[in-house]
Amino acid sequence: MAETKKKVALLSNVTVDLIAAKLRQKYEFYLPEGFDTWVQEAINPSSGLYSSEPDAVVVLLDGTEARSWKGREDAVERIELWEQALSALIGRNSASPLFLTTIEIRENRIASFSERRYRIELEDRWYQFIQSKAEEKNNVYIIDLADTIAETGRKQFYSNKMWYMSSMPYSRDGLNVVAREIGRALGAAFTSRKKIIALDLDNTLWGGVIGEDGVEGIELADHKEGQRYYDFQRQLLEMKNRGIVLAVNSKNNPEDAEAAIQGHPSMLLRDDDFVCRKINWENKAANLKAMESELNLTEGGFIFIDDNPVERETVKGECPEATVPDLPTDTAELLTFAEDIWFDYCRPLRVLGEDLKKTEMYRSEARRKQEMSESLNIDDYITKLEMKVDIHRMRPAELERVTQLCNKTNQFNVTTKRYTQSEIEAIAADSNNAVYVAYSSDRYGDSGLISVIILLCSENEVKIDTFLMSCRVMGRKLENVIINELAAHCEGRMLLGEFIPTAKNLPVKELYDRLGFSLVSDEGGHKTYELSTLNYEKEQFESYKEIKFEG
Amino acid sequence: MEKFLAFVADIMKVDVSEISMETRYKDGKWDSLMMLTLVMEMEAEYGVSIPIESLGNVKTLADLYEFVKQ
Repeated sequence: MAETKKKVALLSNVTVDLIAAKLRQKYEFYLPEGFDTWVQEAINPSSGLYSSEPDAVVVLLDGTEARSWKGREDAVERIELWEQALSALIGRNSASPLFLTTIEIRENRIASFSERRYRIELEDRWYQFIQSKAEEKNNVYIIDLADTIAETGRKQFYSNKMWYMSSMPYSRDGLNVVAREIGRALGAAFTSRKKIIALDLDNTLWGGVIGEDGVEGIELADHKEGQRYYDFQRQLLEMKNRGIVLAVNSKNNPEDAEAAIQGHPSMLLRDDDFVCRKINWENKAANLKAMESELNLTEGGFIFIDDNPVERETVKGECPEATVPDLPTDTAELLTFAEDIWFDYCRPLRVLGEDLKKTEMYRSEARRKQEMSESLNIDDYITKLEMKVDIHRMRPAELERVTQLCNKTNQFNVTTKRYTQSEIEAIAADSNNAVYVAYSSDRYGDSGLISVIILLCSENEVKIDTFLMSCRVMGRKLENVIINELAAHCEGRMLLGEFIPTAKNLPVKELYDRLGFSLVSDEGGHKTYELSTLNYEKEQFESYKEIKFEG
Repeated sequence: MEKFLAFVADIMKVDVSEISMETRYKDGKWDSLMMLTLVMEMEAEYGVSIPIESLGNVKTLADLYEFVKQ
């Protein structure tokens, strides 16, 4: 299904047409008319910036003009103006993601060995300013462009010629790098992130072959050559600490590999860090598919990392939606390879509390699946799980998680309506509406906030505008429990359901049929339903250990 | 020469039949931003350095070709 392009406002103090041109395939851009007009655009409430109603705003500030600033005072004045403009912009743009860049100030370099320089001081001041905004506002994020420039190298990044020709300070490489960083930021805002990295072991997490070299013989150490792999593991651990789930997919004798994972002194990733370990002689694509079903993840959520091109090709062929990057030929670059994986596929806008418990959550999910396969029927399974559910009206602290779920849930999502945080806030503030959330937990662990239901109510009807659930908890009659409670709470009003088909929400195509609603209309798969709640007979879910509902 | 035209057509995102050595600056897709891109890409592709002062005399693609022909 072709989605409409997101509209991005790109504001800058330099010419950015060529950057926008590089990203136009994916995004539609609003660029203010004229050169360096971004301050006016930000300050003027009736400017094109605000009337274009962008889905995201990027403010890209370049420090090349500092070469013509007349000393520190002039520079401070300029930075203060920028701060005011940004404050105005932040105040008026409370919904769309707003990306601010760090700055590299190109102070005139004609100076003695003892003159006071203002570059570092002002770069730091600017950083303190934007960082405080990012901490204050949950739609403000930072693109650390100064870091990218340092990484690229000034001489390679800038071009005097381009600056003189068009007030565009970047070289050909610089343009590509800036477009890449903006693309990555917008990608984090608008495309779903990878959830799990499945890793090979030999020559990937350590050097050498464990089955031949043994625990003492493999290359892995916290210094010198073996540090290539140690540092790669550390990068993966940093990702895991930010919500990425790690797994092992390796052809080995399990005893050999486990001996290294549990016993090698320099192994940073231990058994607890992996959600599961497929160490066997099976086809790796089959292992990946087994993980998908055990963890309730889709293939598109996987990254597979393996040094062996044959294994990579097999997985690419059989799991076309998984991401399978080529490894660097020089293993000294594993560390930067990990960074690129993170930037391109994993980096979220913000890490939420829920994200930190991901590995544990998925691991309990695998144990539940195991239980299910041993149970005879679904009710026995739920009874064994000792399911508890808590349904209540959304509280302010839950707003961010609710927004996150609205924007990333694809499978169990009947209408797939995407809302910004302020839109949800506005819906909830209207007393005719109700935004409900549900938490679930069981004997294996706490799944956290896993469902969002948005109800738009009138005198005689209650319309289910949004009903979504995390795919981790699908198949446990939670949807039945939730609708049962809500229907009982409707006090006779007609409960209306709607299904809008997308490429991904097949699992809920028949949801309302299963829940006992009657079909009202069906236009090319877009279906509406109703359920009378007059004299509604509330069902008792004996298999649930506890059901809490607060209307 | 044909290689050069193909190279330019690729950057301008037009079919090579739509341009020729006589194509003039400021005509169609060849605006000042395109000039910038062409200079950038030519310098990278042909390993030359095109001085700003010489760009003032560029009126057609043939003039640009002068910078890179061997």
